[in-house]
Amino acid sequence: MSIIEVDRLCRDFSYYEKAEGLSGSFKNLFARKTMIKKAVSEVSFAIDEGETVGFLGPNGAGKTTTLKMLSGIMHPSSGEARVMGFVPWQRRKDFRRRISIVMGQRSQLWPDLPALESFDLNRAIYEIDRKEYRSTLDELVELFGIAEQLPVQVRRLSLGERMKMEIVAALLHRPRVLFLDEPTIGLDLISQGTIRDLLKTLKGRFGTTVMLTSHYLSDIEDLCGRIILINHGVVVYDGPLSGVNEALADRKTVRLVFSEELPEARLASLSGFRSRDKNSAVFDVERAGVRAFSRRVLDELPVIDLTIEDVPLEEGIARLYRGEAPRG
Amino acid sequence: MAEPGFAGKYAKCVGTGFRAALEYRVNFFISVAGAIAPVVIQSALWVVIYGDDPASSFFGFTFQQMVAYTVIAQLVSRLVRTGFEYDVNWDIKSGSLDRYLVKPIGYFGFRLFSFIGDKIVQTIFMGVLLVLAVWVLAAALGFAVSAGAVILFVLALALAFILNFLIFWCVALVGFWLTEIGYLFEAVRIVIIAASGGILPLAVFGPRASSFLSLLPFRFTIQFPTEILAGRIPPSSVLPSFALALFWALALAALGQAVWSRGIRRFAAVGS
Repeated sequence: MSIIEVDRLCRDFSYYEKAEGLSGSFKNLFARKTMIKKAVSEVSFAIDEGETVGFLGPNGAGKTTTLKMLSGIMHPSSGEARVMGFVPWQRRKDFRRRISIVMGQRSQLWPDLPALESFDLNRAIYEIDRKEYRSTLDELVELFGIAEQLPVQVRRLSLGERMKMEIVAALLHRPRVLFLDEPTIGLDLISQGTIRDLLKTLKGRFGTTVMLTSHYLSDIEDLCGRIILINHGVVVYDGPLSGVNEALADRKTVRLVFSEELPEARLASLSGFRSRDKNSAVFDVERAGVRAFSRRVLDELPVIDLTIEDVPLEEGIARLYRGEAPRG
Repeated sequence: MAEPGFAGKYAKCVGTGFRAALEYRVNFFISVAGAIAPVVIQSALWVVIYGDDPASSFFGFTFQQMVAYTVIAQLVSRLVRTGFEYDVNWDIKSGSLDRYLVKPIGYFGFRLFSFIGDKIVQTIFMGVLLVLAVWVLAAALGFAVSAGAVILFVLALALAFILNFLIFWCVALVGFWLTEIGYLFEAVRIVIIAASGGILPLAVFGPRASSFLSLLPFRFTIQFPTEILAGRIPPSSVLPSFALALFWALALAALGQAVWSRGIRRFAAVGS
């Protein structure tokens, strides 16, 4: 049975349009033009217990807005959602005790307190049994390797350390559903990798249902069996990660290296030309035409190297953002 | 609501406020030191006004009573002073209110109990100062305090904390509609301190204004506890005064609740 069910969820924001300059500001005092932006538009999906789902989309696509509605922070304009059978924005206490949301851009810890005290405050807030709290905390502290940072004021921690604390704080009450909004944002590559590994371990150990947004595809590739792509507030793809490229499997990327630098005009005259850099060039070619294309460039151009690849995942996702591929 | 852990949850908030107050004790000491200047200026003013005749009486206060009032009212106003409204405003403005909304805790309760914890520490420091002040006033001006007055004072002070919290809670919630309200807080604070008798006893404003101001909740945050300690409230009006203060506490709590539920709907609607 689905633990998260979302049915035609919509969220509009109203804002004011202001003309440029002082006169615009002045006019604004008297007559403001109200504009409506659809942040989320008829989004529907269902997630099963224990699934880890990547929620992808460019900036402003509506990812955070959706997570905020599902965690009860925001009311939708229309549509319905159920998380563990609860309507999130009614914010029932039993609901709040069973979820967690971690936002990379926003700390949930009290900056003036050491993390350990924030954890203890959470223990009281979530009414966690002391023994249970102790064993969960010990387990997480060992897993995250944060014993030394526990007594340090949160504001003095590095971003990577803080993020680990945020995740620990979010897991202490063993939520059934965890929303992660950009948990690796702003982190260096090593910290990103650490957080990712930890989330992977957790997935196995805690069995929590996770919904994760991230700009870093490696996060998603590592953690999520399924992705939901959203753009302009609309779901454009919902399916396995591998399916993204299958949806685009009709195309291949051909990379060429030449013995000399060629004028761009000459390369651009060939169909599928995408970019060039000194003596190399990249082409997008239909799968069926790869043989003919290769033969032609080998004949006509001073090619010294030729590689044929699948379209990179980033590229595939960018295309899905643009709505090029069919829905999964 | 006698669910398990409920009391523990808010006791923990008291503890958090307690620790924060210890962390920022210097802040509090500076605020108390800041009370010295107005006390000196006002006392000097009274010396001039009362002139050579210390037995004369203005607004129903002798010179000794006026100076004692000035000192105690200053200490009380520093003690009941809030600061959480800036935190509330920040939580609304920055969106960090989110972190309370997703947790099984009431934001009002969290702020109230942290405030109480914060005040426990300050009350201990202030209690010492107050005892010193009363002792000096007694030695210098023959100011006398009865044991009964001290007990009533403690009760009145507790009510003053709650009332001041509720007043500023309501003011802070304006942040749901206006983004920049730091100045509003200070403006409101000055008006409220004046209306509370924190600068001058309300009698100074004349009999009509003073009896009107006496009906409002503000008096109970500074003047009432001060006068209780000084034994200036006739025994017959102690109980009615407490009842009025309690009425205001309930009314403000209801107002705060109404504003909060509208504000939170707006917060959820606008997002952040």
